[in-house]
Amino acid sequence: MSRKDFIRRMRKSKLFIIGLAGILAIALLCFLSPLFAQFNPTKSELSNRLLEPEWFSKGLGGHVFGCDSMGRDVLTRLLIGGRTSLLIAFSVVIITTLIGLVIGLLAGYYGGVMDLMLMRVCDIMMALPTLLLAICVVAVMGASVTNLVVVLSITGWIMVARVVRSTVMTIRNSEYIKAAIVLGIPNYKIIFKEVLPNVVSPVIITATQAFGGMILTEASMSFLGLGVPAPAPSWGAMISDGREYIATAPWVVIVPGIALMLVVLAFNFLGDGLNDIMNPKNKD
Amino acid sequence: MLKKILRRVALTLIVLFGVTIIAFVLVRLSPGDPAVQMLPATATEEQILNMRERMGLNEPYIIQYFMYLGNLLKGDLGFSFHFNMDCGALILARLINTAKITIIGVLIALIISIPLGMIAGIKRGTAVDTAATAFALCGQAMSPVWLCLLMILIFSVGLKWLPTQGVGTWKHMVMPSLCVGFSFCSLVTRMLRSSMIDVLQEEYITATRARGISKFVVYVKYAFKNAILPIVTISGAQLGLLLAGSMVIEQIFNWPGLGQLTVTAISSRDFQLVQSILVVVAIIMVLCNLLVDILYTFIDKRVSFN
Amino acid sequence: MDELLKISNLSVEYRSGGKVAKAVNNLNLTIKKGQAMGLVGESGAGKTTTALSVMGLLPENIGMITEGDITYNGESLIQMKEKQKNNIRGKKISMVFANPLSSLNPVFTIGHQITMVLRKHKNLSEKDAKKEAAEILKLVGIPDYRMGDYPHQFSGGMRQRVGIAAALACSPELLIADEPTTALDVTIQAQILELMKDLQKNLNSSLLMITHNLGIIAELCQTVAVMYGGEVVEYGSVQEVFEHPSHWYTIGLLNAVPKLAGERQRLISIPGNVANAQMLPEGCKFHPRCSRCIEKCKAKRPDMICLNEKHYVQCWEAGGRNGEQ
Repeated sequence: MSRKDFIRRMRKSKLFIIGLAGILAIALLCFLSPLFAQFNPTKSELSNRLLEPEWFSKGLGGHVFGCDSMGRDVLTRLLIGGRTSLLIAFSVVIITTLIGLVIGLLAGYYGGVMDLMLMRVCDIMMALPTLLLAICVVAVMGASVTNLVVVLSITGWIMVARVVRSTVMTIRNSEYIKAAIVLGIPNYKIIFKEVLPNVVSPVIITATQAFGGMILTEASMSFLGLGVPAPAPSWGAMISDGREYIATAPWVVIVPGIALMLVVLAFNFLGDGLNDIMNPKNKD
Repeated sequence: MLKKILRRVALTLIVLFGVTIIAFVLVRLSPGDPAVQMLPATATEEQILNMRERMGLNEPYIIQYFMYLGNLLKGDLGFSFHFNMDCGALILARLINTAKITIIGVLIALIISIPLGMIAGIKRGTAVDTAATAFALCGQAMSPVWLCLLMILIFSVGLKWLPTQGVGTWKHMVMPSLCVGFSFCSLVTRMLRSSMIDVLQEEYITATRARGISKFVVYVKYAFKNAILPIVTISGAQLGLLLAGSMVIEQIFNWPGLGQLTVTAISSRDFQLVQSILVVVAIIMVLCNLLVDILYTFIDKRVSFN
Repeated sequence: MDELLKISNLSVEYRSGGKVAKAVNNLNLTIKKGQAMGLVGESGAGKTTTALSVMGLLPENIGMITEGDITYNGESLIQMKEKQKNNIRGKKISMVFANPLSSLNPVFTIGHQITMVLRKHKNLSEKDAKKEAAEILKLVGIPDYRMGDYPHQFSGGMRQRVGIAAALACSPELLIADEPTTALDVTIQAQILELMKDLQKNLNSSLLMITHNLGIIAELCQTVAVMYGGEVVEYGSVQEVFEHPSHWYTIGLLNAVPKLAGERQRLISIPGNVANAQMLPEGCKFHPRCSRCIEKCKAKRPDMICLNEKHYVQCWEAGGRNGEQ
């Protein structure tokens, strides 16, 4: 589809616009938070322990969402933690997309032993729940942001590789690729000029849709203490910390939970919107 | 047919073989000497050396692997030093607990999501559809951790209906089951809605209606069987997500299932137990996927067993 | 002969996303008992929409009847309750669909797709229905041991036989066949047509044959109605209409049919595209493509005029009337 057509469809997709606007807003808030944050996200101030949200009493000047069990400002931790979560998810999605793209292309285009091996590796990885494998690996390697990215990448590339593989296989069997092969055009040219452009949309869609899952897995791992190491804030860990005080100070848990939901929702919207826009099956 | 079944069995064995390698490598990479862990803290150097010898830790890795594989084939899943009991018995007991909440959760999820998804698809664009879609979208975006705590906040803290954690009466099972099934429920609702919309546009549905079959029967009997197919396809892969979810959920509700056992095993660095859990989980996943494939061939005869 | 189905002044619109397509406009048709009528026209002329309107199966919330009535044995089908309609569909009026590949449910056996009609309308037990379904399938040339097979295991022609068997299972009084042979090979087409002809004769049912193939109409039907832009522009007995075509669209259609006999001639095609239902022209719907278009054609829709009791046409410049072609 032409660029003009693409932009027109993009403008028409409500899901896409809502998703994109939501993500941009959240990302801006999180990444620009050092400019306006009034509190230290890691320094505890016991006098403020489990302070109630001051949204109504003091407005934006006070502890808007209250303080946690160690007297740290919930909003500041939320924004800084969001930055970490987004960065982790973004790195993982980039890495998994690249790995998945290369492996999927090779397996789908050349088939044979390569394909057979890839599919077996996929089967093996799929026989273990992502979270289970991830926490086992972190348990062995130790918890750190880098290790978190590595672990989520190891488990995450399979999705992309499978999507790319099946798309490439369909294209590989089409008449025009056969014609190109018969004409003696070298494989690398066929891959880059004919095959690659066709897998771009499914890859972008899959990657966007994977974002939400990544963020949720990261939160679960941080909750279990195998994600972002303390005292750096992360949403999963914030929820975990607030657990004990849920009866007396529910905001400590509710705030990061809602933030988590909004981010994942925004990414899912964006993914579905892109699917509507890019999938040639969906006519407007 | 026989050839296809044999092929399928061979593939399954390859997968399990691969999983044992992953499990083995993970444990060998893990910090700490298994022999030291097996012994009390007061053990002497000599005792440790003896233990290493007895456990075969002085052999080359490849021999160790085959020893481990041999034990597995004999049904020996190793010994958990943390729980001081046989891994096999331990895992089995916990597995039953996980199965309880998972099965109940999935059943509740299906009871809710199947009618909801179908109605949303049939009554596309109405208030019911909007509500169902909103529910499904939010449900999929919710972290299981947060969902559990939210439920506790509502049902235990607020309404005081249900206990926050532990085992005992049926009341203890309500929240864990609901939490396990929740994201599955929203997924099925959403998928069923969209596949129902697709199926209802098919000519064979109009053709069935043209034969005088009432709308209701067409929806419930004829469209449903087509619309459920994509959900059957993904249900095998969903089991992984369900089990992953149960790890956090069991942790929160202190439910003595496989998920909680895994977390305990990892935090107490009981890697022998972790290793066995990985293998058992893989076996369950593989078997369930096999079951799903068989089920699929029964519903849709176009797909031959492969 | 009694009037079995009477469509009077029918208008159907499709509405979706703010767009309105006028698929059928003030259409009149009458089918008598035992009669076979052909409905001919290009794709998009509103033939299938007419058929679906009769069946009451227009896509819900999208296609709607805005005007007119359809009566069956004097009873209005439009006002009829859903339950009553279900008792007519498949039993009194049934339909064969265009594409046998997509009109059979892929996850049910063909046996089931026949028995479901019998069980619904004849209140048969599972066992009796199966027995009868086997008989019907035999009638269309499918052996009974294949009843447990699924649609994908059959060829296109065989599947259409199943579709016909399902449609004829309850010996309907009216059979609507929507391009039943379009998706099939030529040799298979002939078999299917032969089969339909025999069955129609034996059951003495009426037939509404929708097609763009004039040969099929000549072969199977006594009367023919030519549709363009959602209207019937010419109708009458097959002999009259084919020998003395009077609407310029019909003349164009007949000229576009290759002839086997005589000298080889260049086929004359009708210029332009079929009328877009979203922006139908004023006046005669065919005027933008008509070589004989005059000012009057652009301004006002012509009325249906009677050339003789077997031939009606809706054209200001009815060509065939003066013998010129």
